[in-house]
Amino acid sequence: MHFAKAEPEAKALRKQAGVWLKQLRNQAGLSQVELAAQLGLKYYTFISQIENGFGRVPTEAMERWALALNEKPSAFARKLLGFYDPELYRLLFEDVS
Amino acid sequence: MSNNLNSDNVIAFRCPPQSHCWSQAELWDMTALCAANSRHGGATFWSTGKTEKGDPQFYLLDADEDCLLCLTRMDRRYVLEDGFGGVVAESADLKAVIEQGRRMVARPQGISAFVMRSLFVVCTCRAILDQKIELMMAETGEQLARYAPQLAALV
Repeated sequence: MHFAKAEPEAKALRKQAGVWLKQLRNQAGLSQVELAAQLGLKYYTFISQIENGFGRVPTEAMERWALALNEKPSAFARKLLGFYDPELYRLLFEDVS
Repeated sequence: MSNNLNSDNVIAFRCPPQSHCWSQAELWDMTALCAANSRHGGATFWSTGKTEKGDPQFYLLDADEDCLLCLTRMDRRYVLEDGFGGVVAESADLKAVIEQGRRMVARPQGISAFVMRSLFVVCTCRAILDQKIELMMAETGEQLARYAPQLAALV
């Protein structure tokens, strides 16, 4: 058994995503409990898991998550893709030529 | 008897507030999840954190350090969730919750091991059959090349 190893890029990006999501939630004036209620989650602990950088917003929950945080779903999903899959994000949205 | 109960002679017992950290005993129990996961070929990383309200969380992580299971203590209740927010188990008994988690980490790995073994057997059988068929075809071709002129002469 070990503690988590040193932060690789993916982990660091997930952490950044968590920080960004927390900022958005605070801007929307919602607590973790309130956001969980809006997303139809039984417990608010999943919100914490993601904001602490240990999980990802599931694709199927992105739209509701975005709307709860007063964000445009497409822009929200795009930003998250940049954190969760930076290579795919680069291929889709950045000029590679 | 209830007439004798009033605010002067009834002492309110309050549960001591739970710490916002995991106790040594809880951590010891929870690392059993890591051991179970590693026995089934999974990664054995773990980390801890807190919710906004200060409830302690324990994360079981895979090789990419994505959360497989998340255990949270809320008041005196333990809630175990998977990496997608699905509730796996919830109880005041930590050991019962861990047992559920242990079963969960064992299940998918067990299935994948079975699938891997089955695939290996199928591939081996196919390779053997291919070899045999190839040999038979080669032999048939050789026989045909040998006897075809003679058969043609007879006709």
